[in-house]
Amino acid sequence: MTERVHVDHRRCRRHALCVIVAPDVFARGGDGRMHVTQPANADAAARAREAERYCPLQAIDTERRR
Amino acid sequence: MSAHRLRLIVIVGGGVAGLRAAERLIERGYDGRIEIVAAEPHAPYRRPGLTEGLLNGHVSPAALRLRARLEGRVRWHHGVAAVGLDARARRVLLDDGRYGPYEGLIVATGMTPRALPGARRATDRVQTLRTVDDALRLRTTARRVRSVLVVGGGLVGAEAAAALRAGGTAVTVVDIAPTLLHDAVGPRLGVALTELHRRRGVHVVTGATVQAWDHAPGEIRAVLRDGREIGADAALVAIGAHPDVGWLQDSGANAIDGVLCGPTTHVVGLDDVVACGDCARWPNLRFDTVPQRVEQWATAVAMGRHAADALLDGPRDARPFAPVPWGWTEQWGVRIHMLGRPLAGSLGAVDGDPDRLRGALATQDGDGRLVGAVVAERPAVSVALHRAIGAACPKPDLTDAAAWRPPAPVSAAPAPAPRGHEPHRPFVERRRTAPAAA
Repeated sequence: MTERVHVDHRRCRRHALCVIVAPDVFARGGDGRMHVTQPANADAAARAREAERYCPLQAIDTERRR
Repeated sequence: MSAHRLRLIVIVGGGVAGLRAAERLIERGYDGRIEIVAAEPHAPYRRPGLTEGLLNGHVSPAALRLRARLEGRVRWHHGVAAVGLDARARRVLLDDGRYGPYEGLIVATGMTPRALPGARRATDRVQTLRTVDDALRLRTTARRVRSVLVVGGGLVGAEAAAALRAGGTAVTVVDIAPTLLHDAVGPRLGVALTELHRRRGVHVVTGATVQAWDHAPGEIRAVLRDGREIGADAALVAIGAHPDVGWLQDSGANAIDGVLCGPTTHVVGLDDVVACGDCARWPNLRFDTVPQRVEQWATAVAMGRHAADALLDGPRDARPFAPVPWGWTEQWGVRIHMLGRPLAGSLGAVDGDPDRLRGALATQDGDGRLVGAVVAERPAVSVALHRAIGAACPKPDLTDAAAWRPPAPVSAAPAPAPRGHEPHRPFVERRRTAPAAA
Protein backbone atom coordinates (compact mmCIF):
# COMPACT_ATOMS: atom_id res chain seq x y z
CA MET A 1 0.00 0.00 0.00
CA THR A 2 1.42 3.36 -0.93
CA GLU A 3 0.19 6.86 -0.26
CA ARG A 4 0.21 9.79 -2.57
CA VAL A 5 0.77 13.13 -0.86
CA HIS A 6 -1.00 16.07 -2.42
CA VAL A 7 -1.09 19.80 -1.57
CA ASP A 8 -4.14 21.84 -2.54
CA HIS A 9 -2.50 25.11 -3.56
CA ARG A 10 -5.79 27.01 -3.44
CA ARG A 11 -6.14 26.24 0.27
CA CYS A 12 -2.44 26.43 1.14
CA ARG A 13 -1.35 29.72 2.75
CA ARG A 14 2.31 28.64 2.87
CA HIS A 15 2.69 28.78 6.62
CA ALA A 16 5.24 25.96 6.25
CA LEU A 17 4.16 24.04 9.36
CA CYS A 18 4.38 20.94 7.13
CA VAL A 19 8.07 21.75 6.55
CA ILE A 20 8.59 21.69 10.33
CA VAL A 21 6.67 18.42 10.77
CA ALA A 22 7.92 16.54 7.69
CA PRO A 23 10.99 18.28 6.21
CA ASP A 24 11.86 15.31 4.02
CA VAL A 25 8.46 15.50 2.27
CA PHE A 26 7.59 19.20 2.12
CA ALA A 27 9.79 22.10 1.03
CA ARG A 28 9.20 25.61 -0.16
CA GLY A 29 10.00 25.87 -3.82
CA GLY A 30 11.51 28.83 -5.63
CA ASP A 31 8.00 29.88 -6.65
CA GLY A 32 6.98 30.10 -2.98
CA ARG A 33 4.69 27.08 -3.26
CA MET A 34 5.00 23.97 -1.15
CA HIS A 35 6.67 21.23 -3.13
CA VAL A 36 6.18 17.58 -2.31
CA THR A 37 8.77 14.84 -2.49
CA GLN A 38 6.73 11.65 -2.30
CA PRO A 39 7.67 9.69 0.85
CA ALA A 40 10.47 7.24 0.24
CA ASN A 41 9.70 4.96 3.17
CA ALA A 42 7.17 4.22 5.91
CA ASP A 43 8.66 6.74 8.35
CA ALA A 44 8.44 9.55 5.82
CA ALA A 45 4.87 8.51 4.99
CA ALA A 46 3.97 8.66 8.68
CA ARG A 47 5.44 12.15 8.93
CA ALA A 48 3.44 13.22 5.87
CA ARG A 49 0.25 11.97 7.52
CA GLU A 50 1.21 13.88 10.64
CA ALA A 51 1.66 17.05 8.58
CA GLU A 52 -1.80 16.44 7.09
CA ARG A 53 -3.27 16.52 10.60
CA TYR A 54 -1.36 19.64 11.62
CA CYS A 55 -2.01 21.72 8.50
CA PRO A 56 -4.02 24.75 9.72
CA LEU A 57 -5.73 25.08 6.34
CA GLN A 58 -6.31 21.33 5.84
CA ALA A 59 -4.57 21.70 2.49
CA ILE A 60 -2.69 18.39 2.61
CA ASP A 61 -4.18 15.13 1.48
CA THR A 62 -2.44 11.78 1.86
CA GLU A 63 -4.72 9.44 0.06
CA ARG A 64 -4.31 5.71 0.28
CA ARG A 65 -3.78 3.74 -2.88
CA ARG A 66 -3.47 0.02 -3.11
CA MET B 1 0.76 -1.15 31.51
CA SER B 2 0.21 -2.28 27.97
CA ALA B 3 -1.77 -0.94 25.07
CA HIS B 4 -4.18 -3.83 25.33
CA ARG B 5 -5.14 -3.57 28.96
CA LEU B 6 -7.77 -0.89 28.48
CA ARG B 7 -11.00 -1.93 26.78
CA LEU B 8 -13.17 1.17 27.12
CA ILE B 9 -11.84 4.68 26.57
CA VAL B 10 -14.08 7.72 26.87
CA ILE B 11 -13.03 11.04 25.35
CA VAL B 12 -14.88 14.07 26.70
CA GLY B 13 -14.71 16.82 24.08
CA GLY B 14 -15.32 16.72 20.35
CA GLY B 15 -12.80 19.34 19.19
CA VAL B 16 -9.55 18.79 17.39
CA ALA B 17 -7.70 17.54 20.49
CA GLY B 18 -10.27 14.84 21.23
CA LEU B 19 -10.47 13.86 17.57
CA ARG B 20 -6.72 13.52 17.19
CA ALA B 21 -6.58 11.51 20.42
CA ALA B 22 -9.13 9.04 19.04
CA GLU B 23 -7.24 8.81 15.77
CA ARG B 24 -4.01 8.09 17.61
CA LEU B 25 -5.59 5.35 19.75
CA ILE B 26 -6.62 3.55 16.56
CA GLU B 27 -3.23 4.15 14.95
CA ARG B 28 -1.58 2.60 18.00
CA GLY B 29 -3.57 -0.58 17.59
CA TYR B 30 -5.88 -0.05 20.55
CA ASP B 31 -8.83 -2.29 19.73
CA GLY B 32 -11.22 -1.56 22.60
CA ARG B 33 -14.18 0.77 22.50
CA ILE B 34 -13.91 4.52 21.97
CA GLU B 35 -16.78 6.78 23.04
CA ILE B 36 -16.65 10.53 22.39
CA VAL B 37 -18.91 12.86 24.36
CA ALA B 38 -19.23 16.17 22.49
CA ALA B 39 -21.23 19.14 23.74
CA GLU B 40 -21.59 20.61 20.25
CA PRO B 41 -24.01 19.01 17.81
CA HIS B 42 -21.50 19.16 14.94
CA ALA B 43 -18.74 16.84 13.82
CA PRO B 44 -15.27 18.22 14.65
CA TYR B 45 -14.38 21.23 12.54
CA ARG B 46 -11.47 23.55 11.91
CA ARG B 47 -12.11 26.16 14.57
CA PRO B 48 -9.43 28.62 13.37
CA GLY B 49 -11.31 28.80 10.07
CA LEU B 50 -14.30 30.46 11.71
CA THR B 51 -13.00 34.03 11.48
CA GLU B 52 -11.69 33.51 7.96
CA GLY B 53 -15.07 31.99 7.11
CA LEU B 54 -16.84 35.12 8.34
CA LEU B 55 -15.01 37.00 5.63
CA ASN B 56 -15.48 34.74 2.65
CA GLY B 57 -18.80 33.26 3.65
CA HIS B 58 -17.94 29.58 3.85
CA VAL B 59 -18.77 29.18 7.53
CA SER B 60 -20.53 25.86 7.89
CA PRO B 61 -19.66 22.71 9.75
CA ALA B 62 -19.49 20.89 6.42
CA ALA B 63 -16.99 23.27 4.82
CA LEU B 64 -14.76 23.28 7.89
CA ARG B 65 -15.15 19.63 8.83
CA LEU B 66 -11.93 17.91 9.85
CA ARG B 67 -10.81 14.78 8.08
CA ALA B 68 -9.73 11.94 10.33
CA ARG B 69 -8.97 8.25 10.05
CA LEU B 70 -11.32 6.74 12.57
CA GLU B 71 -12.18 3.60 10.62
CA GLY B 72 -15.71 3.61 11.96
CA ARG B 73 -14.41 2.81 15.43
CA VAL B 74 -15.76 5.79 17.36
CA ARG B 75 -19.18 6.05 18.91
CA TRP B 76 -20.23 9.70 19.09
CA HIS B 77 -22.52 11.26 21.67
CA HIS B 78 -23.21 14.69 20.22
CA GLY B 79 -25.04 17.42 22.10
CA VAL B 80 -24.17 15.87 25.44
CA ALA B 81 -22.07 17.64 28.07
CA ALA B 82 -20.23 16.18 31.03
CA VAL B 83 -21.41 17.59 34.36
CA GLY B 84 -19.31 15.58 36.78
CA LEU B 85 -16.72 12.90 37.25
CA ASP B 86 -16.98 10.06 39.74
CA ALA B 87 -13.36 8.96 39.54
CA ARG B 88 -13.74 6.24 42.16
CA ALA B 89 -16.49 4.51 40.21
CA ARG B 90 -14.86 5.55 36.91
CA ARG B 91 -17.89 7.26 35.53
CA VAL B 92 -18.41 10.50 33.65
CA LEU B 93 -21.74 12.04 34.62
CA LEU B 94 -23.68 13.53 31.73
CA ASP B 95 -26.24 16.29 31.46
CA ASP B 96 -28.87 14.00 29.97
CA GLY B 97 -28.99 11.89 33.12
CA ARG B 98 -26.83 9.10 31.78
CA TYR B 99 -23.29 8.24 32.75
CA GLY B 100 -20.30 7.01 30.80
CA PRO B 101 -18.30 4.24 32.42
CA TYR B 102 -14.64 4.22 31.43
CA GLU B 103 -11.41 2.37 31.96
CA GLY B 104 -9.38 5.20 30.50
CA LEU B 105 -10.51 8.82 30.20
CA ILE B 106 -9.28 11.63 27.94
CA VAL B 107 -10.32 15.13 29.01
CA ALA B 108 -10.55 17.52 26.04
CA THR B 109 -13.40 19.88 26.88
CA GLY B 110 -11.85 23.09 25.56
CA MET B 111 -13.07 26.52 26.61
CA THR B 112 -16.05 28.87 26.83
CA PRO B 113 -15.76 32.58 26.03
CA ARG B 114 -15.76 34.94 28.98
CA ALA B 115 -18.74 37.17 29.42
CA LEU B 116 -18.39 40.86 30.13
CA PRO B 117 -20.11 42.01 33.32
CA GLY B 118 -23.21 43.92 32.46
CA ALA B 119 -23.34 42.69 28.89
CA ARG B 120 -26.09 40.25 28.12
CA ARG B 121 -24.61 37.28 26.35
CA ALA B 122 -25.77 35.45 23.25
CA THR B 123 -28.41 37.93 22.34
CA ASP B 124 -28.72 39.23 18.80
CA ARG B 125 -26.74 42.27 19.77
CA VAL B 126 -24.06 41.04 22.17
CA GLN B 127 -22.29 37.93 21.04
CA THR B 128 -19.20 35.82 21.62
CA LEU B 129 -17.24 33.75 19.12
CA ARG B 130 -16.04 30.23 19.79
CA THR B 131 -18.24 27.74 17.95
CA VAL B 132 -19.49 27.45 14.40
CA ASP B 133 -22.98 28.35 15.64
CA ASP B 134 -21.52 31.52 17.18
CA ALA B 135 -19.86 32.36 13.85
CA LEU B 136 -23.06 31.79 11.89
CA ARG B 137 -24.99 34.02 14.28
CA LEU B 138 -22.35 36.74 14.08
CA ARG B 139 -22.33 36.61 10.31
CA THR B 140 -26.11 36.92 10.18
CA THR B 141 -25.94 39.90 12.53
CA ALA B 142 -23.14 41.52 10.53
CA ARG B 143 -25.24 41.36 7.39
CA ARG B 144 -28.11 43.17 9.11
CA VAL B 145 -26.22 45.91 10.91
CA ARG B 146 -23.88 48.71 9.96
CA SER B 147 -21.54 48.82 12.92
CA VAL B 148 -20.04 46.34 15.37
CA LEU B 149 -18.10 47.07 18.56
CA VAL B 150 -15.47 44.44 19.28
CA VAL B 151 -14.44 44.33 22.93
CA GLY B 152 -10.98 42.75 23.15
CA GLY B 153 -8.18 42.92 20.61
CA GLY B 154 -6.60 39.50 21.08
CA LEU B 155 -6.48 36.84 18.41
CA VAL B 156 -10.23 36.30 18.21
CA GLY B 157 -11.12 39.99 18.44
CA ALA B 158 -8.55 41.20 15.93
CA GLU B 159 -9.24 38.44 13.40
CA ALA B 160 -12.99 38.99 13.66
CA ALA B 161 -12.53 42.75 13.36
CA ALA B 162 -10.57 42.31 10.14
CA ALA B 163 -13.14 39.88 8.73
CA LEU B 164 -16.09 42.11 9.62
CA ARG B 165 -14.40 45.25 8.32
CA ALA B 166 -13.44 43.53 5.07
CA GLY B 167 -17.09 42.61 4.70
CA GLY B 168 -18.06 46.29 4.83
CA THR B 169 -19.07 46.63 8.49
CA ALA B 170 -17.93 49.67 10.47
CA VAL B 171 -15.81 48.21 13.28
CA THR B 172 -14.49 49.66 16.53
CA VAL B 173 -12.13 47.58 18.67
CA VAL B 174 -11.64 48.46 22.32
CA ASP B 175 -8.73 46.81 24.08
CA ILE B 176 -7.24 47.25 27.52
CA ALA B 177 -3.65 46.80 26.27
CA PRO B 178 -1.56 49.51 24.56
CA THR B 179 -1.82 47.65 21.22
CA LEU B 180 -3.90 44.98 19.54
CA LEU B 181 -2.58 41.42 20.01
CA HIS B 182 -0.29 42.65 22.75
CA ASP B 183 -0.27 39.40 24.72
CA ALA B 184 0.13 37.28 21.60
CA VAL B 185 2.92 38.98 19.66
CA GLY B 186 4.39 41.53 22.07
CA PRO B 187 4.47 45.32 21.86
CA ARG B 188 6.49 45.81 18.68
CA LEU B 189 4.50 43.67 16.23
CA GLY B 190 1.46 44.80 18.21
CA VAL B 191 2.10 48.40 17.20
CA ALA B 192 2.62 47.41 13.56
CA LEU B 193 -0.56 45.34 13.48
CA THR B 194 -2.59 48.05 15.19
CA GLU B 195 -1.46 50.49 12.48
CA LEU B 196 -2.36 47.95 9.81
CA HIS B 197 -5.90 47.66 11.19
CA ARG B 198 -6.22 51.44 11.31
CA ARG B 199 -5.05 51.82 7.72
CA ARG B 200 -7.78 49.37 6.71
CA GLY B 201 -10.41 51.44 8.42
CA VAL B 202 -10.82 49.72 11.77
CA HIS B 203 -11.35 52.21 14.59
CA VAL B 204 -8.98 51.00 17.32
CA VAL B 205 -9.22 52.32 20.88
CA THR B 206 -6.36 51.01 23.04
CA GLY B 207 -5.69 51.30 26.75
CA ALA B 208 -9.41 51.40 27.40
CA THR B 209 -11.96 49.28 29.20
CA VAL B 210 -15.72 49.15 28.95
CA GLN B 211 -17.23 50.16 32.26
CA ALA B 212 -20.93 50.20 31.53
CA TRP B 213 -23.36 49.03 28.90
CA ASP B 214 -26.55 50.59 27.77
CA HIS B 215 -28.80 48.32 25.77
CA ALA B 216 -31.01 50.89 24.13
CA PRO B 217 -33.53 49.51 21.66
CA GLY B 218 -31.73 48.94 18.38
CA GLU B 219 -28.41 50.16 19.71
CA ILE B 220 -25.63 49.42 22.14
CA ARG B 221 -23.75 52.13 23.97
CA ALA B 222 -20.55 51.20 25.73
CA VAL B 223 -19.24 53.66 28.28
CA LEU B 224 -15.47 53.55 28.68
CA ARG B 225 -13.73 54.15 31.96
CA ASP B 226 -12.56 57.58 30.80
CA GLY B 227 -16.14 58.56 30.07
CA ARG B 228 -16.08 58.19 26.31
CA GLU B 229 -19.10 56.52 24.76
CA ILE B 230 -19.06 54.20 21.79
CA GLY B 231 -22.29 53.41 20.02
CA ALA B 232 -22.76 50.41 17.74
CA ASP B 233 -25.55 48.27 16.33
CA ALA B 234 -24.06 45.12 17.85
CA ALA B 235 -21.11 43.98 19.93
CA LEU B 236 -18.70 41.06 19.91
CA VAL B 237 -17.20 40.29 23.31
CA ALA B 238 -13.77 38.72 22.75
CA ILE B 239 -12.01 39.08 26.09
CA GLY B 240 -10.70 35.54 26.29
CA ALA B 241 -12.14 32.26 27.40
CA HIS B 242 -12.06 30.05 30.45
CA PRO B 243 -11.37 26.33 30.34
CA ASP B 244 -14.40 24.05 30.62
CA VAL B 245 -13.34 22.07 33.64
CA GLY B 246 -16.14 22.86 36.08
CA TRP B 247 -17.35 19.27 35.71
CA LEU B 248 -14.07 18.09 37.30
CA GLN B 249 -14.52 20.27 40.38
CA ASP B 250 -15.29 17.50 42.87
CA SER B 251 -13.41 14.70 41.17
CA GLY B 252 -10.11 14.87 43.01
CA ALA B 253 -8.46 16.75 40.14
CA ASN B 254 -7.12 20.27 40.49
CA ALA B 255 -9.42 22.15 38.13
CA ILE B 256 -8.52 25.78 38.70
CA ASP B 257 -7.81 27.49 35.36
CA GLY B 258 -7.68 24.21 33.50
CA VAL B 259 -7.11 20.71 34.77
CA LEU B 260 -3.66 20.24 36.29
CA CYS B 261 -1.58 17.58 34.55
CA GLY B 262 1.91 16.24 35.06
CA PRO B 263 4.55 16.44 32.32
CA THR B 264 3.11 13.38 30.54
CA THR B 265 -0.47 14.83 30.35
CA HIS B 266 -1.69 12.51 33.11
CA VAL B 267 -4.14 14.37 35.34
CA VAL B 268 -2.62 14.91 38.78
CA GLY B 269 -4.60 13.09 41.46
CA LEU B 270 -6.53 10.72 39.18
CA ASP B 271 -5.65 7.32 37.73
CA ASP B 272 -6.07 6.50 34.06
CA VAL B 273 -7.10 10.05 33.16
CA VAL B 274 -5.18 12.27 30.73
CA ALA B 275 -6.01 15.71 29.36
CA CYS B 276 -5.25 17.64 26.20
CA GLY B 277 -6.00 20.86 24.36
CA ASP B 278 -7.03 24.26 25.69
CA CYS B 279 -8.40 22.89 28.96
CA ALA B 280 -5.16 21.21 30.08
CA ARG B 281 -2.56 22.90 32.28
CA TRP B 282 0.73 21.09 32.22
CA PRO B 283 4.46 21.78 32.67
CA ASN B 284 6.33 21.93 29.38
CA LEU B 285 9.68 20.74 30.74
CA ARG B 286 11.46 21.96 27.64
CA PHE B 287 11.11 25.47 29.09
CA ASP B 288 10.43 25.22 32.82
CA THR B 289 8.45 23.29 35.43
CA VAL B 290 5.47 25.63 35.76
CA PRO B 291 2.12 24.23 34.55
CA GLN B 292 0.56 26.41 31.87
CA ARG B 293 -2.23 26.20 29.35
CA VAL B 294 -1.54 26.78 25.66
CA GLU B 295 -4.46 27.85 23.48
CA GLN B 296 -3.14 26.82 20.10
CA TRP B 297 -4.31 24.66 17.25
CA ALA B 298 -0.98 22.87 16.66
CA THR B 299 -0.52 22.21 20.37
CA ALA B 300 -4.04 20.75 20.55
CA VAL B 301 -3.23 18.40 17.66
CA ALA B 302 0.08 17.33 19.21
CA MET B 303 -1.34 17.04 22.71
CA GLY B 304 -4.34 14.98 21.60
CA ARG B 305 -2.00 12.49 20.01
CA HIS B 306 0.36 12.57 22.98
CA ALA B 307 -2.43 12.08 25.52
CA ALA B 308 -3.60 8.97 23.67
CA ASP B 309 -0.06 7.59 23.82
CA ALA B 310 0.25 8.50 27.49
CA LEU B 311 -3.01 6.77 28.38
CA LEU B 312 -1.97 3.57 26.60
CA ASP B 313 1.59 3.62 27.94
CA GLY B 314 0.67 4.43 31.55
CA PRO B 315 2.16 7.10 33.83
CA ARG B 316 5.50 5.37 34.34
CA ASP B 317 6.37 4.76 30.70
CA ALA B 318 4.75 7.78 29.07
CA ARG B 319 7.07 10.42 27.63
CA PRO B 320 6.81 14.04 28.75
CA PHE B 321 4.81 16.26 26.39
CA ALA B 322 7.22 19.03 25.45
CA PRO B 323 6.51 20.64 22.10
CA VAL B 324 8.00 23.87 20.79
CA PRO B 325 4.67 25.73 20.56
CA TRP B 326 3.67 26.99 17.10
CA GLY B 327 0.82 29.45 16.74
CA TRP B 328 -0.34 31.59 13.90
CA THR B 329 -2.74 34.32 12.95
CA GLU B 330 -3.51 35.99 9.68
CA GLN B 331 -4.75 39.57 9.57
CA TRP B 332 -5.33 41.48 6.37
CA GLY B 333 -3.27 38.93 4.47
CA VAL B 334 -0.31 39.22 6.86
CA ARG B 335 0.77 35.89 8.32
CA ILE B 336 2.16 36.00 11.83
CA HIS B 337 3.81 33.07 13.60
CA MET B 338 4.28 32.81 17.35
CA LEU B 339 6.96 30.26 18.27
CA GLY B 340 7.99 28.84 21.62
CA ARG B 341 7.48 31.44 24.38
CA PRO B 342 7.83 34.81 22.66
CA LEU B 343 6.93 36.86 25.74
CA ALA B 344 9.20 35.02 28.21
CA GLY B 345 12.07 37.50 27.84
CA SER B 346 13.29 40.39 25.76
CA LEU B 347 12.45 40.52 22.06
CA GLY B 348 15.00 41.70 19.53
CA ALA B 349 14.85 41.94 15.75
CA VAL B 350 16.73 39.14 14.01
CA ASP B 351 15.48 39.31 10.45
CA GLY B 352 14.05 41.80 7.96
CA ASP B 353 11.90 44.70 9.08
CA PRO B 354 9.39 43.57 11.69
CA ASP B 355 7.99 47.09 12.06
CA ARG B 356 6.81 46.86 8.47
CA LEU B 357 5.48 43.34 9.13
CA ARG B 358 8.18 41.67 7.08
CA GLY B 359 10.63 40.18 9.53
CA ALA B 360 11.27 38.38 12.80
CA LEU B 361 11.91 39.11 16.46
CA ALA B 362 13.51 36.52 18.72
CA THR B 363 13.20 36.18 22.49
CA GLN B 364 16.00 35.45 24.93
CA ASP B 365 15.31 34.56 28.54
CA GLY B 366 17.37 35.74 31.52
CA ASP B 367 20.07 33.15 30.77
CA GLY B 368 20.43 34.28 27.16
CA ARG B 369 18.65 31.17 25.91
CA LEU B 370 16.58 31.45 22.72
CA VAL B 371 13.07 30.61 23.98
CA GLY B 372 10.69 32.16 21.46
CA ALA B 373 10.08 34.26 18.39
CA VAL B 374 7.41 36.18 16.51
CA VAL B 375 7.64 36.22 12.75
CA ALA B 376 5.76 38.28 10.18
CA GLU B 377 5.51 37.08 6.57
CA ARG B 378 8.70 35.04 6.75
CA PRO B 379 7.69 31.35 6.79
CA ALA B 380 11.18 30.11 5.97
CA VAL B 381 12.57 32.12 8.90
CA SER B 382 9.85 30.58 11.09
CA VAL B 383 11.01 27.10 10.18
CA ALA B 384 14.62 27.97 11.04
CA LEU B 385 13.72 29.72 14.31
CA HIS B 386 11.44 26.87 15.38
CA ARG B 387 14.34 24.47 14.93
CA ALA B 388 16.74 26.82 16.75
CA ILE B 389 14.40 27.12 19.76
CA GLY B 390 14.18 23.33 19.89
CA ALA B 391 17.98 23.13 19.91
CA ALA B 392 18.37 25.81 22.60
CA CYS B 393 15.68 24.26 24.81
CA PRO B 394 16.22 20.52 24.53
CA LYS B 395 13.59 17.87 24.94
CA PRO B 396 13.23 16.48 28.47
CA ASP B 397 13.37 12.74 29.12
CA LEU B 398 11.57 10.23 31.35
CA THR B 399 13.84 11.06 34.29
CA ASP B 400 12.92 14.75 34.10
CA ALA B 401 9.25 13.79 34.02
CA ALA B 402 9.58 11.47 37.01
CA ALA B 403 11.32 14.20 39.04
CA TRP B 404 8.55 16.76 38.55
CA ARG B 405 6.26 17.51 41.50
CA PRO B 406 3.00 19.46 41.37
CA PRO B 407 3.28 23.01 42.74
CA ALA B 408 0.63 22.64 45.44
CA PRO B 409 -0.87 19.66 47.20
CA VAL B 410 -4.07 18.36 45.70
CA SER B 411 -6.62 16.26 47.50
CA ALA B 412 -5.72 12.60 47.19
CA ALA B 413 -9.08 10.92 47.36
CA PRO B 414 -11.81 11.68 44.85
CA ALA B 415 -14.95 13.03 46.40
CA PRO B 416 -18.20 11.12 45.97
CA ALA B 417 -20.42 11.94 43.02
CA PRO B 418 -22.14 15.33 43.24
CA ARG B 419 -25.52 15.14 44.93
CA GLY B 420 -28.71 15.95 43.17
CA HIS B 421 -27.39 14.61 39.91
CA GLU B 422 -27.66 10.89 40.28
CA PRO B 423 -27.33 9.39 36.83
CA HIS B 424 -29.50 6.36 36.39
CA ARG B 425 -28.28 4.55 33.31
CA PRO B 426 -25.01 4.06 31.49
CA PHE B 427 -24.78 5.38 27.97
CA VAL B 428 -23.16 2.23 26.70
CA GLU B 429 -26.45 0.38 27.20
CA ARG B 430 -28.97 0.28 24.44
CA ARG B 431 -31.35 3.16 24.85
CA ARG B 432 -34.49 2.13 26.63
CA THR B 433 -37.72 4.02 27.05
CA ALA B 434 -37.21 7.10 29.14
CA PRO B 435 -37.73 6.43 32.82
CA ALA B 436 -40.69 8.11 34.47
CA ALA B 437 -39.85 11.40 36.09
CA ALA B 438 -38.99 11.01 39.77
